[in-house]
Amino acid sequence: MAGFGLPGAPPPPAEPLGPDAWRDLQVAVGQQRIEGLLGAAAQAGAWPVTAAQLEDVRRAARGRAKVDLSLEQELLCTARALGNAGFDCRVLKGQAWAHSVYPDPAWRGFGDIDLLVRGDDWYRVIDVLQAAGARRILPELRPGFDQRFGKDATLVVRAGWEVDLHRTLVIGPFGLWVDHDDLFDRPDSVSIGGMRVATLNSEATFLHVCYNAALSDDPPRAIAVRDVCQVAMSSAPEPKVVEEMAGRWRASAVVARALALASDLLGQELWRLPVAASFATRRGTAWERALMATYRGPGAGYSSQLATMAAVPGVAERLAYLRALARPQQSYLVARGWSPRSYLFTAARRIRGNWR
Amino acid sequence: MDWSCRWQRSERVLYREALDDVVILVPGTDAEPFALAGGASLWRFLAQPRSTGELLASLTTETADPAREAEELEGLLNRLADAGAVHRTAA
Repeated sequence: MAGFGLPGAPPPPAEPLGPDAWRDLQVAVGQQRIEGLLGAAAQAGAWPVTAAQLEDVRRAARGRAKVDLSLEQELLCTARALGNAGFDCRVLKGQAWAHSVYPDPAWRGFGDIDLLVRGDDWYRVIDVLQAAGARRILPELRPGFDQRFGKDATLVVRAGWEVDLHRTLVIGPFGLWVDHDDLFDRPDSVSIGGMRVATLNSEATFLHVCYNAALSDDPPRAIAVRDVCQVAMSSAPEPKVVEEMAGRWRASAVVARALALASDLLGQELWRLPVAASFATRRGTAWERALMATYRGPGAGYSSQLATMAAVPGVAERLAYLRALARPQQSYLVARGWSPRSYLFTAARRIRGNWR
Repeated sequence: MDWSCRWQRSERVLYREALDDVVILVPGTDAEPFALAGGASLWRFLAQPRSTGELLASLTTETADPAREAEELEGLLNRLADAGAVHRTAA
């Protein structure tokens, strides 16, 4: 289903699905937020449905659209507030990609607002958002942790929508290796509701979709792999610039895995495209591939956080990082419902589970 | 009915097509998205200024009661204008 519209994608079933399979498909489509994609496929006759199933599709597509539009409204309010306060930000992920690399933004749903801000602005941006009524869900691990080592913080805005405020693109070592100058250099933009909002440049976008597909979820989300295909096929990223940027980010192994996922899950041999060709033979070092493995498994959040040590520069910073991991501040533990002991016990159990 | 009036969708409006429906959200403090059943084609035509007559010609083929169709379309456009989704432009 996630491959609809891609050349040579796996074929749909020959007949409408039976009740159980249809129910399973609807659940999966909802989890991937691709109700609009299924709607387009059904309307084009590319996915066989009964009349009743078509009404299910219509209802789900409308519901998805309402969520997406409500989130876009919140995005515009938030971007405007940050712009008025003098902060530079970049729209990330679904809201950026839906309006840039997909033929129809309805094909790419999203569940929250993802905004990137500069590390130096981090705490002042959170102050601005909180002054406007946003509520941070979890305190940072320790004072100063976010700005030195963190990936993101989630804030709840009106009507319960979530803003995922990013300092970098992923947790773990690959997040720390991202060159932040690349994230803010040469911005692209998309138009949403008549307002132009800045996004990453197309080369950083290509690396970001690869990171999102290869590192964010285990198993990978089909729509995240679809994003890789859409960006690679858009012809926007300049191959040489991508190569150089991937070198700075130490991203070769991540890109190679994302391209392999596109082949395995969606039947797309992206290596034939100029932007991906050089990654056919560059798979990253064994160490980078080993670090990528820490992003998989049930304890991935914990193991990749521990693996971040590989990317933290200097002994003093590593000690500070370890200290923060081992002894979170009290407000963080209270918000998670943990004692210091249960926190360490949970972390150890999850990391041990990953290495079995 | 003012046949010289032309209609166009507002640039600020957020929207998504959902099969042959369109879901619209006019940004505002208490705005909620609403669906226009079967309205995707109309919405696409409203990307450019159109008169009611032009819209009717584009959207309908044969109709038993063209005057009634025109009145219903005009009524819909007026409601969309009241909601801020479309605006009237000079002919």
